Amino acid sequence: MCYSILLEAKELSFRYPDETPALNDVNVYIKQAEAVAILGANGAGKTTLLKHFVGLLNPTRGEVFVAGKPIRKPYLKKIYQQVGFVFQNPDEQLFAPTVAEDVGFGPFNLGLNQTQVQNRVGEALKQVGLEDMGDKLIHHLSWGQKKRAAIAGVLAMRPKALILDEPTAGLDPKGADELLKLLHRLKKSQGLTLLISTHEIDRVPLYADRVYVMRRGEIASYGDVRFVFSQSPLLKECHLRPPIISQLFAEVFKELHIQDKHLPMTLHEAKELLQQLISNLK
Amino acid sequence: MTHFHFENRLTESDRGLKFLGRIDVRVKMFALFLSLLLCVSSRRIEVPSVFAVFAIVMMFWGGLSLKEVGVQLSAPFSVAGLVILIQPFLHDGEVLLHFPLLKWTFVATQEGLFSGLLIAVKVLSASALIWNFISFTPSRYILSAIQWIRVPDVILELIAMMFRYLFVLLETGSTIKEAQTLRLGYSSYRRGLRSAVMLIHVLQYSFGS
Ligand SMILES: Nc1ncnc2c1ncn2[C@@H]1O[C@H](COP(=O)(O)OP(=O)(O)OP(=O)(O)O)[C@@H](O)[C@H]1O
Ligand SMILES: [Mg+2]
Repeated sequence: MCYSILLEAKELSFRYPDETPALNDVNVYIKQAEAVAILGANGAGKTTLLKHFVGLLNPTRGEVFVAGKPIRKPYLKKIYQQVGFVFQNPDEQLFAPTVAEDVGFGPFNLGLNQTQVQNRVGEALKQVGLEDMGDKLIHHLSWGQKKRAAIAGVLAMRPKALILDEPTAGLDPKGADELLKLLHRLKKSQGLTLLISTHEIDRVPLYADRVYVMRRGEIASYGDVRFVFSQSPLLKECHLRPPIISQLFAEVFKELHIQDKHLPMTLHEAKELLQQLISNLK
Repeated sequence: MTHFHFENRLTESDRGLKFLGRIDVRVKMFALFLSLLLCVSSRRIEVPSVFAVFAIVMMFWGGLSLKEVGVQLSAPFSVAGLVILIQPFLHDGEVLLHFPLLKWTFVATQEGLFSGLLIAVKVLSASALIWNFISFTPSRYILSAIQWIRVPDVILELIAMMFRYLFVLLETGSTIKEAQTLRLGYSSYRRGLRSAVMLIHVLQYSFGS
Protein backbone atom coordinates (compact mmCIF):
# COMPACT_ATOMS: atom_id res chain seq x y z
CA MET A 1 0.00 0.00 0.00
CA CYS A 2 1.36 3.37 -1.00
CA TYR A 3 0.98 5.82 1.87
CA SER A 4 1.66 8.94 -0.11
CA ILE A 5 -1.97 8.57 -1.18
CA LEU A 6 -3.93 10.18 1.63
CA LEU A 7 -7.52 9.95 0.41
CA GLU A 8 -8.82 7.27 -1.88
CA ALA A 9 -12.17 6.02 -3.14
CA LYS A 10 -12.24 2.66 -4.89
CA GLU A 11 -15.15 1.58 -7.10
CA LEU A 12 -17.40 3.70 -4.94
CA SER A 13 -21.13 3.62 -5.61
CA PHE A 14 -23.79 5.23 -3.49
CA ARG A 15 -27.57 5.39 -3.46
CA TYR A 16 -29.50 7.63 -1.11
CA PRO A 17 -32.21 5.90 0.93
CA ASP A 18 -34.79 7.20 -1.54
CA GLU A 19 -32.95 5.22 -4.25
CA THR A 20 -31.36 8.25 -5.96
CA PRO A 21 -28.20 6.81 -7.53
CA ALA A 22 -25.77 9.59 -6.60
CA LEU A 23 -22.40 7.91 -7.26
CA ASN A 24 -21.55 5.19 -9.71
CA ASP A 25 -18.23 3.34 -9.70
CA VAL A 26 -16.13 6.33 -8.72
CA ASN A 27 -12.35 6.00 -8.42
CA VAL A 28 -10.52 8.95 -6.92
CA TYR A 29 -7.19 9.38 -5.18
CA ILE A 30 -5.55 12.41 -3.60
CA LYS A 31 -1.88 12.38 -2.71
CA GLN A 32 -0.40 13.96 0.36
CA ALA A 33 0.14 17.74 0.01
CA GLU A 34 -1.77 17.78 -3.26
CA ALA A 35 -4.57 20.21 -4.12
CA VAL A 36 -7.37 18.62 -6.08
CA ALA A 37 -10.47 20.36 -7.43
CA ILE A 38 -13.75 18.59 -8.13
CA LEU A 39 -15.87 20.14 -10.83
CA GLY A 40 -19.37 19.21 -11.89
CA ALA A 41 -22.79 20.66 -12.60
CA ASN A 42 -25.40 20.98 -9.85
CA GLY A 43 -26.40 17.54 -8.68
CA ALA A 44 -23.38 15.81 -10.25
CA GLY A 45 -22.51 14.23 -6.90
CA LYS A 46 -19.67 16.40 -5.58
CA THR A 47 -21.01 16.86 -2.07
CA THR A 48 -22.01 13.21 -1.90
CA LEU A 49 -18.48 12.16 -2.84
CA LEU A 50 -16.82 14.53 -0.36
CA LYS A 51 -18.99 13.31 2.51
CA HIS A 52 -17.72 9.77 1.96
CA PHE A 53 -14.17 10.79 2.84
CA VAL A 54 -15.16 11.52 6.43
CA GLY A 55 -17.68 8.74 6.82
CA LEU A 56 -20.75 11.01 6.82
CA LEU A 57 -22.12 8.68 4.15
CA ASN A 58 -21.33 5.00 3.82
CA PRO A 59 -20.72 3.44 0.40
CA THR A 60 -23.42 1.26 -1.06
CA ARG A 61 -20.58 -0.48 -2.91
CA GLY A 62 -16.82 -0.03 -2.94
CA GLU A 63 -14.63 1.37 -0.22
CA VAL A 64 -13.06 4.62 0.91
CA PHE A 65 -9.62 4.88 2.52
CA VAL A 66 -7.85 7.54 4.57
CA ALA A 67 -4.09 7.04 4.85
CA GLY A 68 -4.55 3.45 3.82
CA LYS A 69 -7.17 2.69 6.47
CA PRO A 70 -10.75 1.89 5.45
CA ILE A 71 -13.38 4.21 6.89
CA ARG A 72 -14.80 1.96 9.58
CA LYS A 73 -15.84 2.45 13.14
CA PRO A 74 -12.54 1.65 14.90
CA TYR A 75 -10.67 4.17 12.76
CA LEU A 76 -13.26 6.95 12.79
CA LYS A 77 -11.77 8.97 15.63
CA LYS A 78 -8.35 8.95 13.99
CA ILE A 79 -9.90 9.88 10.67
CA TYR A 80 -11.80 12.82 12.19
CA GLN A 81 -8.46 14.10 13.44
CA GLN A 82 -6.70 13.66 10.12
CA VAL A 83 -9.36 14.98 7.78
CA GLY A 84 -11.15 18.28 8.33
CA PHE A 85 -14.43 18.93 6.56
CA VAL A 86 -15.77 22.41 5.83
CA PHE A 87 -19.46 22.45 4.94
CA GLN A 88 -20.81 24.68 2.23
CA ASN A 89 -23.04 26.58 4.61
CA PRO A 90 -21.15 27.94 7.65
CA ASP A 91 -24.44 28.37 9.52
CA GLU A 92 -24.68 24.59 9.63
CA GLN A 93 -21.17 24.23 10.97
CA LEU A 94 -20.93 26.87 13.69
CA PHE A 95 -22.82 26.09 16.86
CA ALA A 96 -21.08 27.78 19.80
CA PRO A 97 -22.05 31.29 20.96
CA THR A 98 -18.69 32.96 20.30
CA VAL A 99 -16.00 32.53 17.68
CA ALA A 100 -13.34 31.41 20.15
CA GLU A 101 -15.63 28.85 21.75
CA ASP A 102 -16.48 27.40 18.40
CA VAL A 103 -12.89 27.22 17.21
CA GLY A 104 -11.89 25.67 20.54
CA PHE A 105 -14.52 22.93 20.27
CA GLY A 106 -12.31 20.47 18.36
CA PRO A 107 -9.13 21.01 20.40
CA PHE A 108 -11.15 20.67 23.61
CA ASN A 109 -12.51 17.34 22.40
CA LEU A 110 -8.99 16.23 21.58
CA GLY A 111 -8.42 16.37 25.31
CA LEU A 112 -6.03 19.33 25.34
CA ASN A 113 -5.80 21.49 28.46
CA GLN A 114 -7.07 25.05 28.60
CA THR A 115 -3.78 26.75 27.72
CA GLN A 116 -3.24 24.41 24.80
CA VAL A 117 -6.79 25.00 23.58
CA GLN A 118 -6.28 28.77 23.79
CA ASN A 119 -3.05 28.50 21.84
CA ARG A 120 -4.70 26.45 19.14
CA VAL A 121 -7.59 28.90 18.93
CA GLY A 122 -5.25 31.90 18.67
CA GLU A 123 -3.18 30.19 16.03
CA ALA A 124 -6.16 29.12 13.91
CA LEU A 125 -7.82 32.54 14.10
CA LYS A 126 -4.57 34.16 13.04
CA GLN A 127 -4.29 31.82 10.08
CA VAL A 128 -7.69 32.85 8.76
CA GLY A 129 -7.22 36.52 9.64
CA LEU A 130 -9.80 36.70 12.42
CA GLU A 131 -7.34 37.27 15.27
CA ASP A 132 -9.35 40.12 16.83
CA MET A 133 -12.70 38.41 16.53
CA GLY A 134 -12.42 35.68 19.17
CA ASP A 135 -14.95 37.25 21.51
CA LYS A 136 -17.45 38.12 18.80
CA LEU A 137 -20.83 36.45 18.75
CA ILE A 138 -21.09 34.09 15.81
CA HIS A 139 -24.43 35.46 14.64
CA HIS A 140 -22.95 38.94 14.38
CA LEU A 141 -20.38 37.85 11.80
CA SER A 142 -20.73 38.46 8.08
CA TRP A 143 -21.02 35.48 5.75
CA GLY A 144 -17.37 35.64 4.75
CA GLN A 145 -16.26 35.89 8.37
CA LYS A 146 -18.45 32.93 9.27
CA LYS A 147 -16.81 30.96 6.52
CA ARG A 148 -13.36 31.80 7.90
CA ALA A 149 -14.46 30.95 11.42
CA ALA A 150 -15.70 27.58 10.20
CA ILE A 151 -12.36 26.91 8.53
CA ALA A 152 -10.50 28.01 11.67
CA GLY A 153 -12.53 25.53 13.71
CA VAL A 154 -11.33 22.74 11.48
CA LEU A 155 -7.73 23.98 11.23
CA ALA A 156 -7.51 24.11 15.02
CA MET A 157 -7.55 20.31 14.99
CA ARG A 158 -4.39 20.36 12.83
CA PRO A 159 -5.68 17.98 10.19
CA LYS A 160 -3.54 16.52 7.41
CA ALA A 161 -6.21 17.13 4.83
CA LEU A 162 -8.92 19.71 4.40
CA ILE A 163 -12.05 18.96 2.42
CA LEU A 164 -14.00 22.03 1.42
CA ASP A 165 -17.43 22.01 -0.22
CA GLU A 166 -17.70 25.09 -2.43
CA PRO A 167 -15.58 27.25 -0.11
CA THR A 168 -15.81 30.39 -2.22
CA ALA A 169 -19.59 30.33 -2.73
CA GLY A 170 -21.12 33.53 -1.41
CA LEU A 171 -17.80 35.35 -0.98
CA ASP A 172 -16.96 38.63 -2.69
CA PRO A 173 -14.13 38.47 -5.28
CA LYS A 174 -11.51 39.70 -2.86
CA GLY A 175 -12.74 37.38 -0.12
CA ALA A 176 -12.60 34.42 -2.48
CA ASP A 177 -9.08 35.32 -3.61
CA GLU A 178 -7.90 35.70 -0.04
CA LEU A 179 -9.41 32.41 1.03
CA LEU A 180 -7.76 30.53 -1.81
CA LYS A 181 -4.45 32.24 -1.10
CA LEU A 182 -4.77 31.20 2.53
CA LEU A 183 -5.39 27.58 1.54
CA HIS A 184 -2.52 27.68 -0.93
CA ARG A 185 -0.23 29.06 1.76
CA LEU A 186 -1.22 26.31 4.23
CA LYS A 187 -0.56 23.74 1.58
CA LYS A 188 2.90 25.12 0.85
CA SER A 189 3.94 25.74 4.46
CA GLN A 190 2.41 22.74 6.23
CA GLY A 191 1.90 20.26 3.44
CA LEU A 192 -1.88 20.42 3.92
CA THR A 193 -3.76 18.25 1.45
CA LEU A 194 -6.73 19.99 -0.18
CA LEU A 195 -9.84 18.56 -1.78
CA ILE A 196 -12.14 21.30 -3.00
CA SER A 197 -15.45 21.14 -4.84
CA THR A 198 -16.22 24.28 -6.77
CA HIS A 199 -18.13 25.99 -9.57
CA GLU A 200 -15.52 28.71 -9.93
CA ILE A 201 -13.63 27.40 -12.90
CA ASP A 202 -11.51 30.49 -13.51
CA ARG A 203 -9.85 30.18 -10.12
CA VAL A 204 -9.09 26.47 -10.34
CA PRO A 205 -5.71 26.82 -12.13
CA LEU A 206 -4.58 29.16 -9.38
CA TYR A 207 -4.46 26.49 -6.72
CA ALA A 208 -5.24 23.03 -8.10
CA ASP A 209 -2.65 20.44 -9.07
CA ARG A 210 -5.24 18.08 -10.49
CA VAL A 211 -8.91 18.16 -11.39
CA TYR A 212 -11.72 15.60 -11.36
CA VAL A 213 -14.77 16.26 -13.49
CA MET A 214 -18.03 14.67 -12.37
CA ARG A 215 -21.10 14.01 -14.45
CA ARG A 216 -24.23 12.33 -13.11
CA GLY A 217 -22.40 10.51 -10.34
CA GLU A 218 -19.48 9.37 -12.48
CA ILE A 219 -15.95 10.63 -13.07
CA ALA A 220 -16.08 11.97 -16.64
CA SER A 221 -12.44 13.01 -16.76
CA TYR A 222 -9.45 13.66 -14.55
CA GLY A 223 -5.85 14.72 -14.80
CA ASP A 224 -3.70 17.79 -14.44
CA VAL A 225 -5.36 21.13 -14.90
CA ARG A 226 -4.07 21.77 -18.41
CA PHE A 227 -5.13 18.35 -19.65
CA VAL A 228 -8.65 18.51 -18.25
CA PHE A 229 -9.28 22.04 -19.49
CA SER A 230 -8.08 21.10 -22.99
CA GLN A 231 -11.16 18.88 -23.41
CA SER A 232 -13.67 21.53 -24.40
CA PRO A 233 -16.33 19.26 -25.94
CA LEU A 234 -16.38 16.96 -22.91
CA LEU A 235 -16.51 19.90 -20.54
CA LYS A 236 -19.47 21.25 -22.47
CA GLU A 237 -21.27 17.95 -22.12
CA CYS A 238 -20.71 18.22 -18.38
CA HIS A 239 -22.19 21.77 -18.36
CA LEU A 240 -18.72 23.18 -17.72
CA ARG A 241 -16.14 25.15 -19.69
CA PRO A 242 -12.40 25.91 -19.68
CA PRO A 243 -11.29 29.07 -17.85
CA ILE A 244 -12.51 32.15 -19.71
CA ILE A 245 -8.97 33.38 -20.38
CA SER A 246 -8.03 30.14 -22.08
CA GLN A 247 -11.24 30.23 -24.13
CA LEU A 248 -10.29 33.71 -25.32
CA PHE A 249 -6.81 32.60 -26.32
CA ALA A 250 -8.17 29.49 -28.03
CA GLU A 251 -10.22 31.81 -30.29
CA VAL A 252 -7.25 34.08 -30.90
CA PHE A 253 -4.93 31.16 -31.68
CA LYS A 254 -7.48 29.83 -34.15
CA GLU A 255 -7.73 33.19 -35.93
CA LEU A 256 -3.96 33.60 -36.10
CA HIS A 257 -3.29 29.93 -36.89
CA ILE A 258 -1.03 29.57 -33.88
CA GLN A 259 -0.55 25.93 -32.99
CA ASP A 260 2.73 25.64 -31.15
CA LYS A 261 1.71 27.45 -27.98
CA HIS A 262 0.11 26.26 -24.73
CA LEU A 263 -3.16 27.94 -23.88
CA PRO A 264 -2.78 30.12 -20.79
CA MET A 265 -4.87 29.09 -17.80
CA THR A 266 -4.46 32.15 -15.60
CA LEU A 267 -4.23 35.92 -16.05
CA HIS A 268 -0.57 35.72 -15.14
CA GLU A 269 0.19 33.14 -17.83
CA ALA A 270 -1.83 35.13 -20.34
CA LYS A 271 0.16 38.24 -19.62
CA GLU A 272 3.46 36.47 -20.14
CA LEU A 273 2.22 34.90 -23.34
CA LEU A 274 1.04 38.27 -24.66
CA GLN A 275 4.38 39.87 -23.90
CA GLN A 276 6.10 37.03 -25.72
CA LEU A 277 3.81 37.31 -28.75
CA ILE A 278 4.27 41.09 -28.94
CA SER A 279 8.04 40.89 -28.72
CA ASN A 280 7.95 38.25 -31.49
CA LEU A 281 5.99 40.64 -33.68
CA LYS A 282 8.50 43.45 -33.25
CA MET B 1 -28.09 9.51 8.79
CA THR B 2 -31.24 8.25 10.37
CA HIS B 3 -33.13 11.41 9.65
CA PHE B 4 -33.38 10.45 5.97
CA HIS B 5 -35.63 7.59 6.85
CA PHE B 6 -37.68 9.68 9.17
CA GLU B 7 -38.07 12.45 6.65
CA ASN B 8 -38.84 10.18 3.74
CA ARG B 9 -41.51 8.40 5.63
CA LEU B 10 -42.99 11.64 6.77
CA THR B 11 -43.10 13.39 3.46
CA GLU B 12 -43.45 10.64 0.92
CA SER B 13 -45.23 8.01 2.86
CA ASP B 14 -47.51 7.25 -0.08
CA ARG B 15 -44.78 4.85 -1.07
CA GLY B 16 -44.60 1.47 0.52
CA LEU B 17 -47.87 2.02 2.29
CA LYS B 18 -49.75 -1.03 3.27
CA PHE B 19 -53.12 -1.30 4.75
CA LEU B 20 -52.72 1.50 7.30
CA GLY B 21 -51.94 4.02 4.60
CA ARG B 22 -55.21 3.49 2.79
CA ILE B 23 -57.59 4.08 5.66
CA ASP B 24 -59.30 7.46 5.53
CA VAL B 25 -57.27 10.00 7.47
CA ARG B 26 -60.30 11.19 9.40
CA VAL B 27 -60.92 7.67 10.66
CA LYS B 28 -57.26 7.32 11.55
CA MET B 29 -57.24 10.62 13.37
CA PHE B 30 -60.31 9.69 15.36
CA ALA B 31 -58.83 6.31 16.22
CA LEU B 32 -55.61 7.98 17.26
CA PHE B 33 -57.33 10.39 19.64
CA LEU B 34 -59.44 7.62 21.07
CA SER B 35 -56.48 5.32 21.69
CA LEU B 36 -54.39 8.14 23.13
CA LEU B 37 -57.22 8.96 25.50
CA LEU B 38 -57.61 5.32 26.50
CA CYS B 39 -53.87 4.90 27.04
CA VAL B 40 -53.29 8.04 29.00
CA SER B 41 -56.35 7.79 31.25
CA SER B 42 -56.03 4.08 31.97
CA ARG B 43 -55.42 3.01 35.57
CA ARG B 44 -54.55 -0.53 34.49
CA ILE B 45 -51.25 -1.33 32.92
CA GLU B 46 -52.68 -3.79 30.37
CA VAL B 47 -54.42 -1.16 28.22
CA PRO B 48 -51.40 0.99 27.29
CA SER B 49 -49.28 -2.19 27.06
CA VAL B 50 -51.53 -3.64 24.38
CA PHE B 51 -51.44 -0.37 22.44
CA ALA B 52 -47.67 -0.09 22.80
CA VAL B 53 -47.13 -3.61 21.48
CA PHE B 54 -49.58 -2.97 18.65
CA ALA B 55 -47.90 0.30 17.65
CA ILE B 56 -44.40 -1.15 17.74
CA VAL B 57 -45.45 -4.18 15.72
CA MET B 58 -46.94 -1.75 13.17
CA MET B 59 -43.58 0.03 12.96
CA PHE B 60 -41.83 -3.22 12.05
CA TRP B 61 -44.60 -4.11 9.65
CA GLY B 62 -44.19 -0.74 7.97
CA GLY B 63 -40.68 -1.75 7.07
CA LEU B 64 -38.47 -0.30 9.81
CA SER B 65 -35.48 -2.31 10.99
CA LEU B 66 -34.87 -3.08 14.65
CA LYS B 67 -32.22 -0.37 14.75
CA GLU B 68 -34.53 2.23 13.20
CA VAL B 69 -37.33 1.45 15.63
CA GLY B 70 -34.76 1.78 18.41
CA VAL B 71 -33.63 5.15 17.14
CA GLN B 72 -37.16 6.48 16.68
CA LEU B 73 -38.22 5.36 20.13
CA SER B 74 -34.98 6.15 21.93
CA ALA B 75 -36.31 9.35 23.48
CA PRO B 76 -39.53 7.84 24.91
CA PHE B 77 -37.55 4.77 26.01
CA SER B 78 -35.12 6.97 27.95
CA VAL B 79 -37.95 8.88 29.57
CA ALA B 80 -39.68 5.62 30.44
CA GLY B 81 -36.48 4.22 31.94
CA LEU B 82 -35.97 7.33 34.04
CA VAL B 83 -39.54 7.23 35.31
CA ILE B 84 -39.20 3.57 36.31
CA LEU B 85 -36.01 4.42 38.20
CA ILE B 86 -37.39 7.42 40.06
CA GLN B 87 -41.03 6.62 40.73
CA PRO B 88 -40.48 3.73 43.21
CA PHE B 89 -38.92 6.20 45.63
CA LEU B 90 -41.75 8.71 45.50
CA HIS B 91 -44.61 6.60 46.87
CA ASP B 92 -45.59 5.13 50.20
CA GLY B 93 -46.47 1.47 50.46
CA GLU B 94 -45.00 -1.99 50.74
CA VAL B 95 -41.23 -1.67 50.96
CA LEU B 96 -39.29 -3.42 48.21
CA LEU B 97 -35.79 -2.37 49.21
CA HIS B 98 -34.09 0.40 51.11
CA PHE B 99 -30.53 1.61 51.22
CA PRO B 100 -28.64 4.50 52.80
CA LEU B 101 -26.81 6.94 50.58
CA LEU B 102 -24.90 9.89 52.04
CA LYS B 103 -27.26 11.45 54.59
CA TRP B 104 -30.46 9.92 53.32
CA THR B 105 -32.14 6.57 53.30
CA PHE B 106 -33.86 5.65 50.06
CA VAL B 107 -36.97 3.52 50.20
CA ALA B 108 -38.44 1.90 47.12
CA THR B 109 -42.03 0.70 47.30
CA GLN B 110 -44.08 -1.74 45.28
CA GLU B 111 -46.77 0.87 44.66
CA GLY B 112 -44.13 3.26 43.40
CA LEU B 113 -42.71 0.67 41.04
CA PHE B 114 -46.16 -0.06 39.66
CA SER B 115 -46.86 3.62 39.17
CA GLY B 116 -43.51 4.00 37.41
CA LEU B 117 -44.21 1.10 35.09
CA LEU B 118 -47.67 2.46 34.29
CA ILE B 119 -46.36 5.92 33.39
CA ALA B 120 -43.53 4.40 31.36
CA VAL B 121 -45.86 2.23 29.32
CA LYS B 122 -48.17 5.21 28.77
CA VAL B 123 -45.29 7.31 27.47
CA LEU B 124 -44.15 4.51 25.17
CA SER B 125 -47.57 3.69 23.79
CA ALA B 126 -48.48 7.32 23.15
CA SER B 127 -45.19 8.06 21.36
CA ALA B 128 -45.37 4.92 19.25
CA LEU B 129 -49.00 5.60 18.31
CA ILE B 130 -48.29 9.18 17.28
CA TRP B 131 -45.22 8.06 15.40
CA ASN B 132 -47.29 5.55 13.46
CA PHE B 133 -49.92 8.10 12.57
CA ILE B 134 -47.46 10.70 11.36
CA SER B 135 -45.27 8.35 9.40
CA PHE B 136 -47.99 6.47 7.61
CA THR B 137 -49.93 9.60 6.72
CA PRO B 138 -48.52 12.17 4.29
CA SER B 139 -48.69 15.62 5.80
CA ARG B 140 -51.04 16.98 3.15
CA TYR B 141 -53.65 14.35 4.09
CA ILE B 142 -53.32 15.30 7.72
CA LEU B 143 -53.83 18.91 6.72
CA SER B 144 -56.90 18.10 4.63
CA ALA B 145 -58.35 16.11 7.51
CA ILE B 146 -57.84 19.05 9.82
CA GLN B 147 -59.52 21.23 7.22
CA TRP B 148 -62.46 18.86 7.15
CA ILE B 149 -63.16 19.39 10.84
CA ARG B 150 -63.49 23.09 9.98
CA VAL B 151 -60.43 24.49 11.58
CA PRO B 152 -60.00 28.14 10.48
CA ASP B 153 -57.63 28.66 7.57
CA VAL B 154 -55.24 30.74 9.62
CA ILE B 155 -54.61 27.89 12.01
CA LEU B 156 -54.33 25.49 9.11
CA GLU B 157 -51.67 27.63 7.51
CA LEU B 158 -49.87 27.83 10.81
CA ILE B 159 -49.85 24.06 11.08
CA ALA B 160 -48.60 23.74 7.51
CA MET B 161 -45.82 26.15 8.32
CA MET B 162 -44.94 24.20 11.44
CA PHE B 163 -44.61 21.06 9.34
CA ARG B 164 -42.31 22.90 6.99
CA TYR B 165 -40.22 24.25 9.83
CA LEU B 166 -40.02 20.88 11.50
CA PHE B 167 -38.17 19.57 8.46
CA VAL B 168 -35.88 22.57 8.17
CA LEU B 169 -35.15 22.13 11.84
CA LEU B 170 -34.45 18.42 11.45
CA GLU B 171 -32.25 19.04 8.43
CA THR B 172 -30.25 21.85 10.04
CA GLY B 173 -30.04 19.99 13.31
CA SER B 174 -28.67 16.86 11.72
CA THR B 175 -26.08 18.77 9.67
CA ILE B 176 -24.86 20.59 12.76
CA LYS B 177 -24.70 17.28 14.56
CA GLU B 178 -22.57 15.94 11.72
CA ALA B 179 -20.27 18.95 12.01
CA GLN B 180 -19.95 18.31 15.74
CA THR B 181 -19.25 14.63 15.20
CA LEU B 182 -16.44 15.44 12.77
CA ARG B 183 -14.83 17.59 15.44
CA LEU B 184 -15.03 14.70 17.90
CA GLY B 185 -18.07 16.16 19.66
CA TYR B 186 -19.50 12.71 20.34
CA SER B 187 -16.30 10.81 21.04
CA SER B 188 -17.25 10.20 24.64
CA TYR B 189 -20.44 10.26 26.66
CA ARG B 190 -19.55 13.50 28.43
CA ARG B 191 -18.54 15.29 25.25
CA GLY B 192 -21.70 14.03 23.59
CA LEU B 193 -23.81 15.57 26.31
CA ARG B 194 -22.01 18.89 26.00
CA SER B 195 -22.35 18.86 22.21
CA ALA B 196 -26.04 18.00 22.39
CA VAL B 197 -26.68 20.93 24.72
CA MET B 198 -24.87 23.27 22.32
CA LEU B 199 -26.91 21.85 19.43
CA ILE B 200 -30.20 22.49 21.19
CA HIS B 201 -29.10 26.01 22.05
CA VAL B 202 -28.16 26.94 18.51
CA LEU B 203 -31.39 25.48 17.11
CA GLN B 204 -33.39 27.41 19.67
CA TYR B 205 -31.56 30.53 18.70
CA SER B 206 -32.00 30.18 14.94
CA PHE B 207 -35.65 29.24 15.08
CA GLY B 208 -36.78 30.85 18.27
CA SER B 209 -36.45 34.44 17.19
N1 LIG C 1 -30.38 13.54 1.14
C1 LIG C 1 -30.60 13.19 -0.12
N2 LIG C 1 -31.56 12.30 -0.42
C2 LIG C 1 -31.79 11.92 -1.69
N3 LIG C 1 -31.11 12.37 -2.75
C3 LIG C 1 -30.13 13.27 -2.53
C4 LIG C 1 -29.82 13.73 -1.20
N4 LIG C 1 -28.81 14.62 -1.29
C5 LIG C 1 -28.49 14.71 -2.60
N5 LIG C 1 -29.28 13.90 -3.35
C6 LIG C 1 -29.22 13.70 -4.80
O1 LIG C 1 -27.95 13.17 -5.14
C7 LIG C 1 -27.46 13.76 -6.33
C8 LIG C 1 -26.10 14.38 -6.07
O2 LIG C 1 -26.24 15.46 -5.16
P1 LIG C 1 -25.02 16.30 -4.61
O3 LIG C 1 -25.54 17.16 -3.54
O4 LIG C 1 -23.90 15.37 -4.28
O5 LIG C 1 -24.62 17.17 -5.88
P2 LIG C 1 -23.56 18.34 -6.01
O6 LIG C 1 -22.65 17.96 -7.13
O7 LIG C 1 -22.95 18.61 -4.69
O8 LIG C 1 -24.46 19.55 -6.47
P3 LIG C 1 -24.34 21.12 -6.15
O9 LIG C 1 -23.35 21.68 -7.10
O10 LIG C 1 -25.71 21.63 -6.44
O11 LIG C 1 -23.96 21.27 -4.71
C9 LIG C 1 -28.50 14.77 -6.77
O12 LIG C 1 -29.27 14.15 -7.76
C10 LIG C 1 -29.33 15.01 -5.53
O13 LIG C 1 -30.67 15.27 -5.87
MG1 LIG D 1 -22.98 20.26 -3.37
